[in-house]
Amino acid sequence: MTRTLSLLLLLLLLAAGCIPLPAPPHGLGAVLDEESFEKLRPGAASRADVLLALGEPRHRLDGDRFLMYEWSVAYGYVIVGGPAQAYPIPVTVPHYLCLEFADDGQLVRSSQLTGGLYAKPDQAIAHCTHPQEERP
Amino acid sequence: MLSIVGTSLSASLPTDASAAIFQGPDSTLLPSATAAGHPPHRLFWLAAILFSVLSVCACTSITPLDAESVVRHSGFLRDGLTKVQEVDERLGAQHASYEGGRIRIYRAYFDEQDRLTLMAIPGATCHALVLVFDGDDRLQRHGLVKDGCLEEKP
Repeated sequence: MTRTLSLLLLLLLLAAGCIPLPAPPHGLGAVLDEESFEKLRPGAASRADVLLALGEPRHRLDGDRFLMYEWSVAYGYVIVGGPAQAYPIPVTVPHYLCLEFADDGQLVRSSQLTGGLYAKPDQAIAHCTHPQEERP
Repeated sequence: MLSIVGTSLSASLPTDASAAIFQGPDSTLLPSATAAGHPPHRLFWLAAILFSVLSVCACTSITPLDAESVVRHSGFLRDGLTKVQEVDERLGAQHASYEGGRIRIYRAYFDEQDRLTLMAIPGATCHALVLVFDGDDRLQRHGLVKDGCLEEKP
């Protein structure tokens, strides 16, 4: 009886398209290699070091004073479409690596921005270029 | 480091592998499980775990290739020797430049013969060939960043 009920519940949830399925955090698409960017120390690395290690940045800001890299990490999936056409949609959180350079090209600041607050890149860009300002 | 945890939904297409797991040979999940004689929900969770494991393996890392690989593929590029004019003649216009052209990025691909080419190959992974020149317009350093191209957003 319990099995039948749980199966029915599962079918109902599947039909409604709301089965959240947690997954170990993992990158989607091309993801920055943590080992590569952890070697880039402020005061020691230059813009050339950054580009040689990480490639093209997503955003170039303020005359390349700021470079931002962006990638997505999935923390789970929502199964939609019902049992016949089940379809996983990833639940993702945007990740940004914000790098600030001095006039001589030396890296002076490196920070990671993560979270739903940055679902739109504008927020991440604003926080990268003006880190001291209060966020809502 | 700021870490504000939140979530956002992103509707991206599933990989072929993940779709195959959920759709099965007869395009159904639960009926095929019942036919196999196992409790369907157990098989569902098994498929879910398998999907999670596969999805972890699905991403690629942006990593610089080791120096030996770069030298093997980049032919005429020699640190301390190659002049910027030769690079211009052989490679043409760069995809992006920094610091007034001192740092240049070219988009590169591996062809079927495992040769590095700047010709875009449909479906092939794009790598970033990064060239850094010194004050005398000679190549100071260069490297190839695997998967290092900017993925164009639709």
